[in-house]
Amino acid sequence: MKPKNAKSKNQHDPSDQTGLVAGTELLHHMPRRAFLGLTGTAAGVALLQGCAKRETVLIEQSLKRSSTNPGEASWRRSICQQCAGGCEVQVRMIDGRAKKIEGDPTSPVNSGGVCALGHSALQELYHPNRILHPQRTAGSAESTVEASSWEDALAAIGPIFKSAGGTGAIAVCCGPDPVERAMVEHLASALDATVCVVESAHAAVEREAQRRFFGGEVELLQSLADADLILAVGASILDRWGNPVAQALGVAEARARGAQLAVISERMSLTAAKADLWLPVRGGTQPLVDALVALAEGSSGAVDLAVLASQLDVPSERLERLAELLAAAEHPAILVGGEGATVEDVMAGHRLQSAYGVLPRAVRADRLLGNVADPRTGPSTGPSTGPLRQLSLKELTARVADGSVRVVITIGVDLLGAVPQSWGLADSLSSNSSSALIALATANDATTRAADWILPMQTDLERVQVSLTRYGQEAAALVVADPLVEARGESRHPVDIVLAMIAASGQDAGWEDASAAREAMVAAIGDLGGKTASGVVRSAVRGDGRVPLLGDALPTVSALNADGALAVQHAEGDGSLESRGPSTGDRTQLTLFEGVRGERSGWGRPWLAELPDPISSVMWGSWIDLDPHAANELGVSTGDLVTVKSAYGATSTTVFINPATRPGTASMPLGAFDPSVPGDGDPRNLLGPEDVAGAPSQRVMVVVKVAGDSKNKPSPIFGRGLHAAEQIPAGWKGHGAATAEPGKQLIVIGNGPSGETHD
Amino acid sequence: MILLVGSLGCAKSSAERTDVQASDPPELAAGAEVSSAGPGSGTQPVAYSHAVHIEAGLECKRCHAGAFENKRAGLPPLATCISCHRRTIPDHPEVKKLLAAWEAETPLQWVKVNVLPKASMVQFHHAAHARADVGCEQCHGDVASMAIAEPVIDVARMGWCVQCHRDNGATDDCLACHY
Repeated sequence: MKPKNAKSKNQHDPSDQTGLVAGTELLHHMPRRAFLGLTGTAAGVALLQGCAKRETVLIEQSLKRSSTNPGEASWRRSICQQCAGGCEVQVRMIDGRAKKIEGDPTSPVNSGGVCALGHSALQELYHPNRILHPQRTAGSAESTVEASSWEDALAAIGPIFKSAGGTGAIAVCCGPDPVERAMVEHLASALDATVCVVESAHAAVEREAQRRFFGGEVELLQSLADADLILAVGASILDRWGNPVAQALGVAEARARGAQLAVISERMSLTAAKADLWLPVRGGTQPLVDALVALAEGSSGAVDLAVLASQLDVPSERLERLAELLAAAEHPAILVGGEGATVEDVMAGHRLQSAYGVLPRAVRADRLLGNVADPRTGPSTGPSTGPLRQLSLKELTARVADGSVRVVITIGVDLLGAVPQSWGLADSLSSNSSSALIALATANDATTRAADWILPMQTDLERVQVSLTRYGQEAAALVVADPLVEARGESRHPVDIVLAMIAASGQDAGWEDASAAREAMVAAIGDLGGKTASGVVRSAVRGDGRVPLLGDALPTVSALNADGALAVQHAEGDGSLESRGPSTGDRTQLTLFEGVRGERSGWGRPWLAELPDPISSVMWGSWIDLDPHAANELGVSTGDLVTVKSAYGATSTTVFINPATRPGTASMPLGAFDPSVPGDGDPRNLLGPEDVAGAPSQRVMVVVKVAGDSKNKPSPIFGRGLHAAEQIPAGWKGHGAATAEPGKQLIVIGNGPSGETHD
Repeated sequence: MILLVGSLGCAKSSAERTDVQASDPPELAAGAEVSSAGPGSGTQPVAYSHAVHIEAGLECKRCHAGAFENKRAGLPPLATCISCHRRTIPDHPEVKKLLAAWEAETPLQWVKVNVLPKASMVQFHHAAHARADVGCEQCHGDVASMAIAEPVIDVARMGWCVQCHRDNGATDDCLACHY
């Protein structure tokens, strides 16, 4: 064995200067080839010596036994709660840190799939700007955020609750998950508070349509995989509506057996692009759907498809094809809702579902969950709760404005980001000195910027989870999961925070902590014979490969009505085709849509930001879909900067010329901005005070102008180049683009309260 | 540059490589900077003696169970050490360090003895080698006689690995280890 530190006999001694001089002289007489060889050798040796340097690596010895060794990866199962879909996931863990999220391949929900939003949950957990400690602000944009402690926060919030006084003076805002909602409603009852669900605008519309059509909220469970025709009426089932992962799996399975996917929508979404048949409509889906209902009810003699196609400005051959598909379908699945839909549109969709025999198979998920989703009975271990008042966003805004709601608590939702500035909610909160806004959040957004108190909330993987998981459109089950990683900073489970706030106000909520709340939830459904347990459903899948419909054990839709029959109601207004036909002239209606990245899930997450939109391919920014004719009128081409103005606000964005866009319409994505950056182009601020079922209307008339300084425009990033739009299959011929002229305006008539736009 | 790539052995396919340094001894090459890596007793948090524990009857897998099941050999949790040393020579100065760390709930930071350079992009799977009946000592030397564990093989030298793979009919595909 050689001595470890022995010097090679040829090793150069740095102190030997004579050798250096001799070498220099040698170089002067060395042939070029020999010089190159020597220098190459020297470089290689130097690099190899560099490689030989050992790295010092420390291994942290764990204190207690664990299932894995230090540095060893393990996969743990959990639930994704980034949207209401509730996919089951597995998380790669190393040394207590979550490294990767993948779909659980054994899950009957998502079968190993997970969407980009689910992947990006890691970036919510480990985001460098994550809110980790209680903070206090003065509630204005100029204020500075002060670090605080839980003790100080609770000591300050308790008196706020006490002084709020009066029934309904406190409003608690939460997300749409039924279980979370049930928990929040239970807790809100201890504060004598009202609850406001902050959800996608289309979800509020769908809920209101269900109330009118069925007499209550229902979960319509349909098997996509078993369908021989899947008809999506406005619902972008492959984009973000419902559970897109499970729905994509269902569509794929149905298609493999020869089923067709048909889509009726205004915008070419990812779903429409993937459809076998797309019927582009304008002015809502109701007229076309009502005509299809008439066909199904045998009154086809009254409907001339050619005339109808002309009235609705849709290709007649596509309409005829859809009528043929519906007539031939034995087990159709019909899904209704989605961006820009009105209550009447959704109700027409329910009529279509009834006409084609879809509804009798529907079940009520809230009954499936027993008393969990029923706030009137509540969990058995908690205090009794009375009927709770649930406010829409519009009602909450009005109550804050008139001072009847003085304290607003948001739990993981961006309330002020969900409503347009024109509603004035933020102004009402900041102008009323007696009001308080308390935000439970993981990241900064419009709500935390205006909040008096910001309380750090645990993310999905840090907390006990109880969630309603939807098995695509087929079934639902309650799933629970334990925390996978230690909570960062001083973040707490939202239920624990609310319980602490209730205790600070001198009230008793009945639950000790979030784990006790979870146990109460699970116990409350324990008498349903296990039909709601995901394990039972999973066993059924393993048995025959199919998730069974659970409707047999539950009340059907027909039982919801007192007379035992479906009370099909008709839309308000005359609903005539003439009154709802496509708009004409040069008016442009802007519709905001929820893309595959989600509505407000945090543009600050790089994985989402760098995900190209599947249609426009735009990354790291927003855009406006313009039809080629409008772009030609404006003289803009894809990538040009334009200003979009409504009567209520303005924003700048880049143009994407989409041949599939109907002339006279335009669309912008929600969520294509960073909610933590004030004024970062939230298109919601273009919206007016109009509401649909208490939620902001997602449509507004706008003026599109070429931005004056187009040379200094930001560089848009298109994932597949600027000419990709030409490849989109369109229902209309494309038009060439002209040269952009700064200041040139596309003539658009505003439809705000004054009927004008401000410029 | 040609010299450099040839030295790393990545430019040629495995079938072409015949000049692997088959006779590399199972020991560190001269001049390798072992001392700077600091695996000596002065840098470890506790002067742990493999020799004493082997002599007491422990086997490698008692503490390094991962070597037979996982990619990494791993270390036992401190609770394993404490389970014996709570009663066994608790007054020994080195054992006191263990007990102090346990009481303070402060994980010990051990210095890894055999370190694969990250730049080499090489992966080593302990369990795969254990299943092939490669003894611990073939790579780690006679650790059982060492008071303080030290590297006896420069694991960064690829020739040693490749020769052993070839001698035992294991794959010498680049991607078997470099991924």
